[in-house]
Amino acid sequence: MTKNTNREEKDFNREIYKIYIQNEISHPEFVQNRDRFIKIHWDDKKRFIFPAFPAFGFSLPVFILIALLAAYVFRVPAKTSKAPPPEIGDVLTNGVSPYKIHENNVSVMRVSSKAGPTMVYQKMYDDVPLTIVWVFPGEIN
Amino acid sequence: MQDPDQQLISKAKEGNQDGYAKLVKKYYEMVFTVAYGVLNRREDAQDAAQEVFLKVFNQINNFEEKSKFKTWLYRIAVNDAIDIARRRKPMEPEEKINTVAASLPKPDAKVLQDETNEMVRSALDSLSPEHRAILVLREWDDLSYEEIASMLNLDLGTVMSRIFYARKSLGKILTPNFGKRS
Repeated sequence: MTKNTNREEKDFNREIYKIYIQNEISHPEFVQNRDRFIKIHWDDKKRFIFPAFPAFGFSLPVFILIALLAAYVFRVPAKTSKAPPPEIGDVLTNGVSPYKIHENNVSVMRVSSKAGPTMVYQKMYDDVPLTIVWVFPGEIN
Repeated sequence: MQDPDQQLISKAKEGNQDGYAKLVKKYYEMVFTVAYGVLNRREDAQDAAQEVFLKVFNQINNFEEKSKFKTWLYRIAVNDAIDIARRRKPMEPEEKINTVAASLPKPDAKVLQDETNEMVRSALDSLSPEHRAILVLREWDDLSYEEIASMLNLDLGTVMSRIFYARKSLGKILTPNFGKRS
């Protein structure tokens, strides 16, 4: 009889204890806190702007950074659309170049022109030259 | 025996965030209840559980897979919770903290639940963190005496005497109170 009573008491107290713990994990904040914690520390999605293309999500900020750098370096925009197209003779009339860079088959030259300051970029591809000419109209050297 | 979490562990070891997130989601309740059983306060248990998961994430490559991940995590959780409980400042009595809340009218069932919770909480506060740890492992998680002994590096006799003492102390407070009610 006493043994049974003790067992009943033990079981009863055990049940009360289990309810006490259960109440805590049934608390509505419990799941919210868990999910917030996981999201803060281990949610891959938050790391990328484009979850389906994580590499693109990473490359976009790099692209923006390069664009900003380029904008900073070339602060004077090339107004090619508004300027009258210079004649070849006008652009490269004077071979005198204040500076010239030669490296890896690439040469960058600054030349004088009636149209304005002009930059020439040349790269040799298997003896075929690629030439790009930038003209900054209106600015006289 | 194959660890059911093997795939997720391998992913986590490779630095896969999603793999570890799944492990956290799976075992959060287990770690929280162990911490709550030992610390006996919701906020402390939450902090402790989160500390455990961050610690395990940083040490996942040290997991040699000699035991199951669940057992390894359990061991870290219970031992860390005991350490935190030992370092913790003495707590304010709950009566002081809940003065304002207690003065508000509540439905009968809520009053009864709050009273019961308070009674269990104060009964548990009278136990040491080590006794509370054994109680939660045995009564809530249903671990065997052998498993508890291995987890806490104790001999079987110590585990048995501690569980006996913890149950008796809890019974001293709970049985008379619930006896009066029925």
